[in-house]
Amino acid sequence: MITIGDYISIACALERADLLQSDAANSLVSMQNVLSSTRASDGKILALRNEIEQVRDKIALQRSQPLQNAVAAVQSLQRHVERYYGSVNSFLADNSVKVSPFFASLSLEAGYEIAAANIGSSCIS
Amino acid sequence: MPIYWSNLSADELANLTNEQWAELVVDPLVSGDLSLSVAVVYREDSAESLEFATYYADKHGIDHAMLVPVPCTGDEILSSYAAFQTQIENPLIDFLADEYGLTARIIIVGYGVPGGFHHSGNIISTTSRLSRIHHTFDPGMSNPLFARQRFKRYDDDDADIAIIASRIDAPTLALAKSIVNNMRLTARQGVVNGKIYFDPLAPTVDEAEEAYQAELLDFEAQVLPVLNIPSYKTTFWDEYTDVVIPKVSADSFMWSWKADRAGYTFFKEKTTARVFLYNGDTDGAESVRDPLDKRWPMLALNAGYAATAGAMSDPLPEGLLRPKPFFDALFRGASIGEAFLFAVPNLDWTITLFGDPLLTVKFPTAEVLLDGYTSASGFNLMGQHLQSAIAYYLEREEAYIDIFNIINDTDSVEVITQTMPAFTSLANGVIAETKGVFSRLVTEYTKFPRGAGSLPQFLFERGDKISRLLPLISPSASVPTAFLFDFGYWQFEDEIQHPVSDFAKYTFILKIATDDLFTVGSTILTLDTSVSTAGWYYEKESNQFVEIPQGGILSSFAGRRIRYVSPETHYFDERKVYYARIWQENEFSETTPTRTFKQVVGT
Repeated sequence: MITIGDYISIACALERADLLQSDAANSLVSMQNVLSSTRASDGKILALRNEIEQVRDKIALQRSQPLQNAVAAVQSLQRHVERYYGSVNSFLADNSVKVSPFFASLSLEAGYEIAAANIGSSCIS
Repeated sequence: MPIYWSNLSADELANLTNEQWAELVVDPLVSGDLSLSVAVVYREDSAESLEFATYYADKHGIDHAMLVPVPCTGDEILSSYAAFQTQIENPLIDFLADEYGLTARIIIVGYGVPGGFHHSGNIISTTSRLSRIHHTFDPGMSNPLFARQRFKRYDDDDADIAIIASRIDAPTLALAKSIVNNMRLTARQGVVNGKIYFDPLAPTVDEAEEAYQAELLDFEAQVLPVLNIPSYKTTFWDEYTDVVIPKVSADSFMWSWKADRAGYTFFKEKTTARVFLYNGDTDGAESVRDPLDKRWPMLALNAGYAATAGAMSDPLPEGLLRPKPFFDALFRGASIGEAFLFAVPNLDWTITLFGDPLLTVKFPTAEVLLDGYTSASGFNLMGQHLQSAIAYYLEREEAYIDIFNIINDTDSVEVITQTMPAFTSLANGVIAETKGVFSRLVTEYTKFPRGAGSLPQFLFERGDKISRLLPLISPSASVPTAFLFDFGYWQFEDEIQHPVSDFAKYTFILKIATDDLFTVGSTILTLDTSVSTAGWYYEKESNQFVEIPQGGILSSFAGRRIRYVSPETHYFDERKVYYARIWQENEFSETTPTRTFKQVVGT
């Protein structure tokens, strides 16, 4: 049976990974802003801007839908908890643990709805 | 229907018919109704003074409600500030609080109105005092609008700080009117077509004079070439000789210093638009009504210059007009009045602007002064953001590997058998994803700054480096180690702020913490430039960083950048995410709001 400590660590790491992807996207926005204020030939600016936009689009697409591998992993985790503990919500409530809204949304996507009482704030301050 | 000068190209100006020319209105302000923006002050018991004010107003389409009579004497210099208040300042304050005066942003001190007043051994210029008419008299105060390093046109916020004020006076009414006509003729010229006579050389007697001369030479190196007009420059003779300009012809500008007097023969035939003349002396503006006095401002206006400036008494070297902000503003389309206000270091002081402040000119150049980044500077700054994006993405990979390791390290066979396949897929799906996502972008980035040369060659020539993360993503970024930032190197960059209107000098405080709330114990580094400036730089010229001086940075650099470069002792762990808080403190112990940033070590 997974420990509550490992469960929390996994939930928080998933949220952290998502936030880091968002930070990367923000850095690319900053890069694009600098590019728009930089003096260079139109061709060079266009070529670099196209590449920045392609990466931004790729990240935006990934973020618009939960990573399917992440959903599958959360599904296997919640199925495991359910098998040994009866229900995910009981597992969380009995251990006085609240998961982040991000993890709750992944869990919902995986078919395991987490009760509002078991949802707290983000792991990341 | 009036035709607005600023809407016309040089060709259109040259092709105006006489009828159209009669309708031409010079409109130097970015907004507002010119007819209600300019107050023209005249001597209430002088018919000639009223005639001049009316003449000026009519030439500019100014509403006659903006003509302001003041009960002043005919003296050129008043005996005291009290006399100035009674005769000029207080009546004008009443007008400015009135229905029409509320919109006034420019004051013309007209024919026959006193040009200054005695105060504590100095002669304070009427125009300089009137610039600060909404504020308490503070002789020699630092001008908050002086030498702003990020140019912007004069606006309502600036008008709250200082009003544009200029004086038009002359030995006779006819000559005063001719000054107004000079401006119109100069405007009709469309494009500056004459030389600039520039005399930066004179024997210096102290550090303040040396500093002024250095600023003149800096102007010569940085701005003069951009103006794209022919120039005549004096050359160094010896340290004791004040090399002067012998005479001028085909001139549009003149900027010199220390040559106290000239003669009528100094100015040769006028074939060009004479725009602005300044000689940095100590008393040239004490009188413009005496034709025999041969002081620079009077001679310049008499010779057809549209505007000039001078000191009524010694402004000290620190108070002399500066050419760099003056021409930078003029080049960018500011009027003479705006350019003067941005170039005069002190207000409530001795320097006077003469002539028409509404004049704007165009320079014969296709080059445009840009405030953006050079390609090298942009390359460096974009590199900071790109390496951050990659570092965040690599950390994201790391987070998924951490998850895999939690499962892998568990003692529970059930956990491993039931969840390992899904978590293995998750980890495998993101490992090495960063390379796939960023590879083409890094390749394009490394091609961005250079022409035919290689990336190492470019980095060598610029003294620049790139992050070690870039060669990991794309082979196009493979360069010798000497061109890679050290592991753990980071730098912080922000824009200098100046939220208040007074002139100030700022020091900078930077705190680095491991959490965004800067909770107790999370702060890992505190830097204060009032204690040490090591590692700190500021953008003295556009895209050029120099070390921060010990005393701090002048508020005129607001909008320019400040940078901290970490020494080896302050390196952080690779890809460490940290939070930076920065604020500024001025000499009055006032602080700017704190700005907070999230950064990652991208090296």
